[in-house]
Amino acid sequence: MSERGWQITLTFLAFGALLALPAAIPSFYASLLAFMFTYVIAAVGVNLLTGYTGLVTVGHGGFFAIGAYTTALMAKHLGTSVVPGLVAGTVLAGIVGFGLGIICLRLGGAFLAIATLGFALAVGAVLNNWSIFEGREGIQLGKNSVAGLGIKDVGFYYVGLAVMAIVMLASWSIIRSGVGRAFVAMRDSERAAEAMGINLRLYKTVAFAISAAMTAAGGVLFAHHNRYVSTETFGDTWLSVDFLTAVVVGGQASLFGSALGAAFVVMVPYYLGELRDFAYVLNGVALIAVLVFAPDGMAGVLARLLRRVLGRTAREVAPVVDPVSVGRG
Amino acid sequence: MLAQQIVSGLATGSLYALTAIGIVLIFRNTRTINLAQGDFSMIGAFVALVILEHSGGSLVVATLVTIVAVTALAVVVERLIMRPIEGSDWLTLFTATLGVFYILHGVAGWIWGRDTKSFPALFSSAPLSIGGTLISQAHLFNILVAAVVGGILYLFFRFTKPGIAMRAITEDPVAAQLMGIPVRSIVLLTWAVGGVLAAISGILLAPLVYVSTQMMDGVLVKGYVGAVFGGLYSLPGAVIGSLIIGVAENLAGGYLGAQYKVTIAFVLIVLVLALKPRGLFGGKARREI
Amino acid sequence: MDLLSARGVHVHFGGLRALDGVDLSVPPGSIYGLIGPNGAGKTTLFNCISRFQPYSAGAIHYRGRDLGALGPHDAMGLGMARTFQNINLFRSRSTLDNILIGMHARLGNPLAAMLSLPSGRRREGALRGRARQMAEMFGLTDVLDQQVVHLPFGYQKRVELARALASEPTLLLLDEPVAGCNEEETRELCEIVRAINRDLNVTVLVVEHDMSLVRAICDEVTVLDFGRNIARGAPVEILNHPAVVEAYLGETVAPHA
Repeated sequence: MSERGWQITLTFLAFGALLALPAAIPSFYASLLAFMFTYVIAAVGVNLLTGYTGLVTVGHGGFFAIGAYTTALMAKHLGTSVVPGLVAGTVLAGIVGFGLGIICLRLGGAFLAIATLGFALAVGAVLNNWSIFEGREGIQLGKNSVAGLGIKDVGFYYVGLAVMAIVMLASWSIIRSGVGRAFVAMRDSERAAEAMGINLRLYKTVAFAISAAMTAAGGVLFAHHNRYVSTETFGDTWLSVDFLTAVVVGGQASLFGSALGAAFVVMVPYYLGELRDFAYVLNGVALIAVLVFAPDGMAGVLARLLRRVLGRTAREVAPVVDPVSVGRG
Repeated sequence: MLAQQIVSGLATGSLYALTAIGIVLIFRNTRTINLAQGDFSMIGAFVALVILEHSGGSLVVATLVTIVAVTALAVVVERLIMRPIEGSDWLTLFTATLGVFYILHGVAGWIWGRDTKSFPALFSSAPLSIGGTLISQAHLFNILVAAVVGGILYLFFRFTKPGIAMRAITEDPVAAQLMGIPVRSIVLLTWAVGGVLAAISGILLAPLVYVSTQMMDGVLVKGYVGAVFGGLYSLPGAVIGSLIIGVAENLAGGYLGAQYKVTIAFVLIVLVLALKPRGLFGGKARREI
Repeated sequence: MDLLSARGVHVHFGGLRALDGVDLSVPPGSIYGLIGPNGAGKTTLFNCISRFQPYSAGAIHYRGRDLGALGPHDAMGLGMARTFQNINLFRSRSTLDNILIGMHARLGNPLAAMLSLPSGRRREGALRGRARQMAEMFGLTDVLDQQVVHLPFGYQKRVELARALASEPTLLLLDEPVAGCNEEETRELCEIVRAINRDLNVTVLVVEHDMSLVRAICDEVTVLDFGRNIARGAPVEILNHPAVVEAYLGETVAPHA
């Protein structure tokens, strides 16, 4: 089987395991995993922009918040639940993302990072100051339902799994298409990408919009998972930083990496939570350890392991003999 | 009223400037956006508090010990954490400083707890009147210290060997290496200078806010905004950017309402970057053909 | 009619006149050389044509169409493809992906591509087939799935040419194609460019410093110096033209070399 074949097989096995999992674990853990799915979805969105397109964002917590508050306000005023919230939240975030993309068109590197950070803080300030969002008081959401059927922990787990699968499938479809190639081309060389006919303005703003919409889908689910939103969570930049960390730690330009990274930023603090301040220290040490020992992220380590198991290492590194440039340094 | 708003804005801006200078210094020589710059100050404030309590309230002793301690901390961070990953892309370096941020937050919380602690005021709260404008003594002192630090840095970069070497690395790291400049030692020195600046701003800020693990969060973000405002490479740019933000914040808070005080900096930065993608002092955005 | 023509093109960088009313006309089917000493403005004109550089006065027409208002990404759609002076590949991608990105102008409906709709998948299949053909033509079949950054220099040069030609352009713009090549590689590249011109029926405009390449492959050349035209004609005449010899005096690469 080819490497790609193995990847697909393993992906199906992983999803199969996730489908069967709630039968084997207490509903409390199903709920924790569903919480993690919301981070995975957000991280996939961030990875599309940062990992694949090379536009580093420290502001996607803002889009997560747009998703969460859209569905929260709809639930409060219109009595809707998960699905209408998902539709409205992703569309709205997509539009805002497109706008932010236009503003940030000429920015790159650290400048873009700070501008997107500014966006996240501006969203936080709006949520804190406009009375409709209820600031620190927050907004309660009613019981969750899909198509009129009430769902509890395990039901919500499957909703989260389904949305995560859809977002991953959509990302995969985009990445392996000509559009995804254009995203990566812009990351590798903007000049060459332009020379190949890629409209930088269009493709950058589209990448922003899609990525924002995906992250917002995570935010919608997050709101329904907690059934509560407030600026305690959405007022600062920690969500944005967590998503970016998930992408860097998990592996840039890797969907599987987004999942691993999201697991890292959710589970490490969760299991260390008892240790309080010491948890911060361990979290920091773990983060630095991953950066030092796995520069291409956890997914990179796993890919190397997989290749070693498959015995492909030898072929990978076999040098190409170029009759023309033999002897060139 | 207006003059007063502006002066207290300049005082706040001076604090942002000290952080912004530290950020720019480290960024332009190592491509690292240092998230831990604020934590250096926070640790400094705690250290100063401890020393003040044990040294019978001598501010001079506390300041000196704090500067030494925070500088040592910055040097340790560079040697133990940043050097092993030197040459990585900036996102990796940035994330590593996030790791440092977590560690320092955790260590501070562990040692000193989560409660806020008050720091003795350095000056009486009676304001001075200069030409009819009332200025708090602490504010005036902050502006003064920032100006002195700025002056010392100017002389350092202009006339001393390590200062000139630091500038050379900013201009062209490869050429600097070829010219025989010990790049690694100078990078270490850059972090050390960042530590000195952090210690000073920690001590200046401590009496104005309570000392706690979160005390620097707001200042740090404004420091970034100030640094980017000035183009991330330019020290005068970072100072001017920080002062503009300090003043704009105070004016917005005074005339538009308190809720605008928080947002104005971000509105400004997004505007500046949309119009001038390399900041106000970053020169023209070049597209190398 | 000329395939490409420039009339009175001006470009100023601050006070410096990089191009001071330059003319150029490239007949279809030719291999055309644009030469001149360092700082003559040939690269600036090249970038004006490929739309990476705006010009303040004059006009550039390609197949009768004015290029003035177009951006760099429009050139490929019109049938103009370019290479870069120092190889500029999508380094993290494979040879196949690089060639596929070269076919971006033929992607069709991006939405159909992104969502893997049936029409998008058909198009993708066709593009992949064509990309493999291009790879075969340039002897790249063995390295189709290799990351280009790990390929030897000669291979990278060929990937860049294959990528530029993947969209089947009418005009190929080469920016100093033999920069960094040794004699052997230069000879090989001359062969390839001739084959492209002859077998694929592609007009070639080449900016070059290396006179051996110009002499070997160009049908006609235009010489620039200090942002102005100084001569035009067949390579053999031009390289002995007094004004050209004078312009090149003091240059390391003399025209007789």
